[in-house]
Amino acid sequence: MVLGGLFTSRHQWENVDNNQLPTSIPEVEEVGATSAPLLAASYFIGAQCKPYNDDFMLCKDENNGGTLDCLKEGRRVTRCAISVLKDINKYCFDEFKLHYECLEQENHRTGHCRPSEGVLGKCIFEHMKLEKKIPGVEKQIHLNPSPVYQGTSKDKQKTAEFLKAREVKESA
Amino acid sequence: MQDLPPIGGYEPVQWKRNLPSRGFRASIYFWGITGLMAFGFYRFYKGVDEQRELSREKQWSRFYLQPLLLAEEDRNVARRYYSEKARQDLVRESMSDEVKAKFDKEIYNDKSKFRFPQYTVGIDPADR
Repeated sequence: MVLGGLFTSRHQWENVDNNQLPTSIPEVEEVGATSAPLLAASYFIGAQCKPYNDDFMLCKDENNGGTLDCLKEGRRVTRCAISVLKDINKYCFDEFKLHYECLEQENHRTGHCRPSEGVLGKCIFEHMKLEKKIPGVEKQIHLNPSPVYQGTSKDKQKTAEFLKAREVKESA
Repeated sequence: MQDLPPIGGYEPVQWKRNLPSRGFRASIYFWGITGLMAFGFYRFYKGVDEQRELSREKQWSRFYLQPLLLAEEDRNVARRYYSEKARQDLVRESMSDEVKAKFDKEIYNDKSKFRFPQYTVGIDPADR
C-alpha cells in the first residue's frame, strides 16, 4: 500500500449522483458546452431561440421561480439551444472552433477576437441566416473597424492563417 | 589732475542679459500641449465609450444564455427535490405513529405558494 493510502478516508467517493429525475419527467439531453463555445454562440442562440427563452423566463416570473412548474419550457429552451449548437457544428465547425479557442485564450474578451468573430459571423449568416445584433444601440461594437482596445494581434494572425489554409484547400 | 574719458567715449556697458533663447515661442508650447491633451482626452473618452459597449455586449450574451443555464439548473434542483422527497417517504414508512404525525405536520400555514425545503443548522425552535 502506498503511504497516501493510509491517510485517505475509508469511504470511496465518486462524483456520481444516483438519484435520477422521476420517470414522469421526460429526459432531455443537456447542452454540455463549456463557457467559451457558449459565449461564441450566445448571440445566435439568442436570435434563434428567442420565443422559447422568453416563454421560459415569463413562466418562471409568473410561477414564483417556477423551478418545478417550468420544466417543460426549460426542456424546450435546452433543445433549441442544442439544435443551434448542432447547426453551427454542422455548417461552421472550423470557424466556430477558431473563434472559441481565441476567446478561451483571450480571457473571454470578445474585443480581442474580432477577426475570427467576423469569419464566424459571415459563415453563420450564409448558412443559418442568423446575425449578431446587440440590442439597445445603433452602433454595433463588434462591427467597429478601428476600436481603441485592440488586444493582441494573435487572433488576426491566426485568422489570416485560417483563411489562407482554406483558400489553398479550396483551390486544390 | 583728473582722469578723463578716452577719446571717443567709453564702450557701451552691457546691462542687458544676453542669453540665447532656447526652444520655440511660448505660444507654440501652449497650443502644442493643449492640442496633445485634447487628443488624449478625445481618445480616452472614446475608450470609455468602447468599454461601455464591450460590457453591453458581454451582458447581452449572458442574457441570451441565462434561460438555458437556468433550465439546466432547475432540472438539477428538481431532481434533488424529488429524490429527497422519495427518501423522506422511505424513512416515513418505518416511523412510529407518533413520530409520523409530527412528521406529517405542515411546516407553513400559508399554502398559497410552493416552497422548497430550507435546511439550517441549529436547535429546533420548539425545543428552545
